[in-house]
Amino acid sequence: MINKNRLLGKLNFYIIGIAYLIIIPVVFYNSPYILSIIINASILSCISLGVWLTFVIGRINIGQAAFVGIGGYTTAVLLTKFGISFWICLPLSGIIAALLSLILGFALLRLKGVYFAMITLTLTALMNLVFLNAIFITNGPNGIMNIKRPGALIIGSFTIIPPFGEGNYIPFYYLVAFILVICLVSIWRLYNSRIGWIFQSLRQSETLAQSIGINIVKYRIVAYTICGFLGGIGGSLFTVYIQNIFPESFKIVDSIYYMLYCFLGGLDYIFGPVVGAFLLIISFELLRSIQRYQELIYAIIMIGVMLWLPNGILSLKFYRTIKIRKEKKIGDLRQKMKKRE
Amino acid sequence: MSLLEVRNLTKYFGGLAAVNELNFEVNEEEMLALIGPNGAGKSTVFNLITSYYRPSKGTIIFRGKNITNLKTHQIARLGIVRTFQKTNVFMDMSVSQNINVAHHLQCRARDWEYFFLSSRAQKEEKAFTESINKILKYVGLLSYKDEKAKNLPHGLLRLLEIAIALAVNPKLLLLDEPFTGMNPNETSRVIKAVKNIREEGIAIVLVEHNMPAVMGISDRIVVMNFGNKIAEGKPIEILKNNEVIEAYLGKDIE
Amino acid sequence: MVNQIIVNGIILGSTYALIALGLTLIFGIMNVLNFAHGQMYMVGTFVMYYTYGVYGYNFFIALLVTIFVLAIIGVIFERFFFRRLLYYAKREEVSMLLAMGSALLVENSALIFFGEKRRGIKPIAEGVYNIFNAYIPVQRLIIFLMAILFIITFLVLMQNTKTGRALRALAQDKEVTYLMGVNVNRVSMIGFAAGAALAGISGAILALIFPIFSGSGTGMSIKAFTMIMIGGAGVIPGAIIGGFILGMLESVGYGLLGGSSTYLVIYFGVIVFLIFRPNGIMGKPWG
Repeated sequence: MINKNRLLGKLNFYIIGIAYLIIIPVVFYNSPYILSIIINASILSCISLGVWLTFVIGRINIGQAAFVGIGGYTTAVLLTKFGISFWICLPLSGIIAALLSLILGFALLRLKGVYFAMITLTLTALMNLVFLNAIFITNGPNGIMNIKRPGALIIGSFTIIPPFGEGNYIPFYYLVAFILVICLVSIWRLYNSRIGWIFQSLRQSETLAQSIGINIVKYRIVAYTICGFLGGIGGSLFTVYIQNIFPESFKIVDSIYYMLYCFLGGLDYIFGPVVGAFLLIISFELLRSIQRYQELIYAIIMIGVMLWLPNGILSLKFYRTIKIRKEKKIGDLRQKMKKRE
Repeated sequence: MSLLEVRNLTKYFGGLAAVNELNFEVNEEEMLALIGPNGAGKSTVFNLITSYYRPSKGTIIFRGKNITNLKTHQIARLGIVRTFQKTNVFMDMSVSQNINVAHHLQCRARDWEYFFLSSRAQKEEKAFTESINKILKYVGLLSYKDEKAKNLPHGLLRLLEIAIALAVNPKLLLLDEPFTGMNPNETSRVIKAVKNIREEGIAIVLVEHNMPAVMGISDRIVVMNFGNKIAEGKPIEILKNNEVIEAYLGKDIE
Repeated sequence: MVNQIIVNGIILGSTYALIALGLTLIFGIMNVLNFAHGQMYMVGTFVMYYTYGVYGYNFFIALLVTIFVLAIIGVIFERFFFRRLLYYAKREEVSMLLAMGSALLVENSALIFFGEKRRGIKPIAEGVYNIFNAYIPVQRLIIFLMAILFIITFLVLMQNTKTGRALRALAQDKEVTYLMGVNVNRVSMIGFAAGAALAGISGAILALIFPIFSGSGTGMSIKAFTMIMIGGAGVIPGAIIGGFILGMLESVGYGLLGGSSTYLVIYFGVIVFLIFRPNGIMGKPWG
């Protein structure tokens, strides 16, 4: 029975993968509207994956919007003021955001629970103000606009990626999809490796983790740095996709949304943030007429999820199989205990 | 040279000395019991040795090396592992996963090797699987291997704690009240596990209230009261010591 | 000039202390950070706006109405949102996200009802005093006195009434309080209501000098968090100290730096401060 579930899981996985990478772009080739929805959801998924990782180590991170902003401004400034190719800006944005997470992490990660939440909230607010005031770099409240779409990626005489023409969303779609897939695979590999178990041990008992020799400071910072990196990449992608950036482009309410996506999908599942982001973004587009009330509805959804579905949607899907497994286990355990007597 | 040496160890909380100028030694392969009435400072001593607290004064020397200012995980790496007064395991993980994580210090492969699953990492993971089974068999938890820790009864959780500590491969094991809240069956299991550990040559410092268990298995005993050492010696000597009797039972026993 | 800054800081600090007290009360008794606290302040400003500004009732009656309205909101939050969670919250993050959701709910509901327009109300007193070389509008003096009055009333009630003692006990140890026969549910409800009311009162008072608009909640929430980060979460003296310190910092900042740089420096300073004193000046550690 267990093998059957695994097989079904893998099949689902391939179906979704094919749909995402082949079917959708082919079918909606000429419909930038649909493509843009998926692009939006994909970038948000990357960013939320970072937040998800900080949940794994047991922190409530309301600061991701700060790093998205940092990534975004890095790309915007380097593109417009220094004319650096986007293909360098992208990884650089991630790296700079990661570096900042690294430095801040030493100070911030000592705090836990509410204190960490509050300080990361403050960080987001602080970054908005920094972007607002650092006029000589960021243009202050006027923001940076008319950012050009990425040019071609040419190495030597090979054009690896063609230039992103105006109005053509397909290259952008594949860029974002490619990045999301890499991020997912990497985080999946990380979570299932020994390091992933270390992260989980940090959430469950930092005291115990220390006593068995785990350098909790180091691993906290690793997780937080990766989170920042993902935020930076997301910011870079958003900036070049929306083609502008302002000090308040990524603010506190965005940080909260990233967390909501994680919760909606389920904090115990790597796909959680992806499911959450796609579900909300797509349903919102379907309900276009009520977009005026988007934030209100998000608020209601947030409250609803916390009250009635705190373990997320993905926990529902597996509920049946887990229940059956659990009952089988309890039966086995009872038999074993009987044997021991 | 003794295995562990505690010199003039002092810890103030506000104006109160929880531990006051404490001096004692633990020798190789020895079983030392640290006893005393509630609030005597015994758990504080453990916290000080393993750097959960910083001492106000004094030094701690392990195998000739001054470990007073090291961090907890570094001290674990040197070979001192402790258990906790309040049950402390990774509740959402299974028993075997708990032990697996505890093999952290046995890893020779680097972190990134575990990420990419290099051949060295794979070999180590395989070796760990065998080690996990061995340890579980040792403490008698093998049949609960895949059970989630939070489903286990209290007594088995305490055994799991000891198993976790063993996986770290300690030279010195600090057990904080391992018998608390156990029924006689569970107690005898823990005593058996502890005896097995001693046969491996691991030194143990035991904090306990359960006198019969302690008397039977310890080589030496250190008695504390109000943060001070009030007696030290073999079990028989301690039983006769007036100060000890006073500390536990009070002065007027006519 | 210096005197002016100090006087402004004290006046501002007194009203901020009220906000911090409300937040810390809720955090203390329910271990939940009321993200909607700023929004409750905002509701307070609006209640004052309508009752006093639009319908022309006496200011003090409007104040009472504000207390009443916010207390009801507090009761609703505790009873229908947070009480449920305490029974089966698998992870602590759940209550925090719930609080955030409630904040967004209040803010966006207000946005829909009241729109984005900024409003103001008539002052309740004219004239300016000159004390110690600083100009203090009479109105601000009244604001200060009201704030101090409420703070003292709050402290007295917490110290001397049965409910006050129950609240303090609850903040220390929930289980023991329950075992002592205290109706924890009812006390929690009162506590949340009181916390909300405090936010509302400071909103009602500050409506006289600050602009009234639906989006004013978020900024005030962050300020409230900053106050308890500085002073320490969950402890009453910490809240008062935090409130006054932030008021003073804001006053100094606006005096010296002006505009947006003030809070940039303050937030940065708080982060640095927390590196050295993670629990604030007198805080109780989380968890």
